[in-house]
Amino acid sequence: MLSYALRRLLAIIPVMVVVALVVFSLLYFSPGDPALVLAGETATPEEIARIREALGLDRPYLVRLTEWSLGILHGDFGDSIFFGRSVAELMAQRAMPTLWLSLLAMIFALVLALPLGIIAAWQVGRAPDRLAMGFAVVGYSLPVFVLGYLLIFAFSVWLGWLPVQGYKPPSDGLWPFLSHLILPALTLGVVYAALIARITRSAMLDVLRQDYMRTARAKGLGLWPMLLRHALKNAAIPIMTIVGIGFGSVISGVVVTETVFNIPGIGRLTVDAILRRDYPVIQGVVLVLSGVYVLINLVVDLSYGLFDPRIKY
Amino acid sequence: MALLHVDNLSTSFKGRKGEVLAVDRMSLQIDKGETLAVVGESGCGKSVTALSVMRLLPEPLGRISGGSIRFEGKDLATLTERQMRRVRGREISMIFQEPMTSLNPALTISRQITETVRLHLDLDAAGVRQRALEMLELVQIPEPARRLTQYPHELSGGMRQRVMIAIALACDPKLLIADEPTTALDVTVQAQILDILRDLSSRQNMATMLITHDLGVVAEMAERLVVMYAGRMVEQGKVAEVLSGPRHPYTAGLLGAVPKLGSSLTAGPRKALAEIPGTVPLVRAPQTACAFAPRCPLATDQCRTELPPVVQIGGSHLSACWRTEDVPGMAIGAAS
Repeated sequence: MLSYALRRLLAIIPVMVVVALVVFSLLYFSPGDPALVLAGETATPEEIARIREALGLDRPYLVRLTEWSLGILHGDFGDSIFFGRSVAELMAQRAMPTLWLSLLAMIFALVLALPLGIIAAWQVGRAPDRLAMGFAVVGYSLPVFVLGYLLIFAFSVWLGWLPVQGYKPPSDGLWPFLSHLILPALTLGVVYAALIARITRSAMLDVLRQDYMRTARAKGLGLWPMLLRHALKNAAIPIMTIVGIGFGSVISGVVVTETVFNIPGIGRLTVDAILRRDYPVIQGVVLVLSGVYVLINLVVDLSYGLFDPRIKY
Repeated sequence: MALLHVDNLSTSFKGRKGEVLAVDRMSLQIDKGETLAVVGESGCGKSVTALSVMRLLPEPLGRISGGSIRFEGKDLATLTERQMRRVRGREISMIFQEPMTSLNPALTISRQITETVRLHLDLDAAGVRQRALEMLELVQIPEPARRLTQYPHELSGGMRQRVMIAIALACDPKLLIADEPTTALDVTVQAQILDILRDLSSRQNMATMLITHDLGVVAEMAERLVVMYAGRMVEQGKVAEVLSGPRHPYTAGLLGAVPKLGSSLTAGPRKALAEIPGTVPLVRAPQTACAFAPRCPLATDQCRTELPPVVQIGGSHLSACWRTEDVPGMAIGAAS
């Protein structure tokens, strides 16, 4: 188990190297010039050239790539062109809201999706199944920004129960903290929940057909011990897999959700950085988020052993 | 009074082309402590009869559409699911044909035995564990304490079937339904499993309904025998009576299809193994004629148009055949 985990951790290195290369090259070769943005519309070509030189943007591709990569090895992601501060510092500052938001969204998604998927499988073909799967289709198709504004309209503007936008850290008290996060987490969690609910249903359907489920009934077990103890544990592997893969949709959703709800997190940082052509920030964020995604999927892979005793690492 | 009295049971399944009657007005009885064998080809309704008794039909496709299943005075066919849960595993237990897939791969052996005990018996934690250990000893599993911590994939097929038996018998049920318990096992393991079943059922004075298509197993294990065909009882009686003097052409055909020691298939004049031509028909409506007639060498016009009544041949020996008198003289294939 430990040696497997170590081997998998080592395997992350080449993945991250490829990600770094792609991110850097994509931004290098894409149109748009941060110097233009910084200098403003009235700048003369000489001023722009000076800024380019000061930022090192005029140097060749390979030189910049090597410099950037060497920096990352020391934990230095470069400096933000716009803020003039280190990218690592900027990301650390913005990490907590995003972390809370995605954590809460994940909890929402699981709490919503698992019961829906289980009930849909148990009531397959009947009304509860259709309802749950209808929800999944709508939840999956509804864009995050549409859902976000719908929820704001309903719960903040119309009912007045929750704040419209913004973020409060937990140190401001539990309710201010939670009340600002409920709608964004719900918005972000719905797509994820739809994905998990569908997989839970199909995995459970597969398990409910198995011989050992008939054995469980023959023992006189009640419905819930059967569904939870006997079926869900066997359905856990596909569910965990989609929890890992679907985390990608959370990462991309964070960007939009934080913009809609005006949360000062990594997502907002990314959007602002893109608008300002702040390349070091974009590169840093993409690299770190890719790392998080890969790590989460490693944890998911390692969790398989918990659910299926036949899997040994 | 019989422990289990299945009376005129009909069980139907919804199929793509309409309903199929898997069991058509079937009756049988099992006394306390008795072993009854139910035999017949695949698809003749043995397993469906058993699943009906346990109320484990795959709902909503399968349902009991008529008759009663009296067990100690209550009609199992009309119990609610909640009431039925107190019967399953406690009063009536069942073991299945496929030991490889009948145990939950994600739970330890201990968990799978103790959950039944905890559910039905009023024991403390230590008592529950003790009971699980005891059961594994009873089914003669070596190193029972170690087995408790293992998972099904760490055990062989024979071991898994022993665990299934341990689970089924853990709460001292009054009736055990064993649906082809040895079909999927090696011959040597079959004998061990049958020994354990026979030993434990007599020790616990438990009745057994043994579903099989192996007449050798019937001769060894059962006191009485019910032969089923197309969802109906065609013959029943004491095992010795029926096997030595079948009074239904279907039973005679089954017996003729058993290869006999000494009648070599390779040496001497070659004789084909007798078979019953054709297959079990799919029944869609309550039968109005003998379902076996199309495959029966003795069939007459009456067999093809009128349902044969159940006639008593002597004692408990019953047969549902218009020409039961002529069965002893019939010749089936090369096996006569």
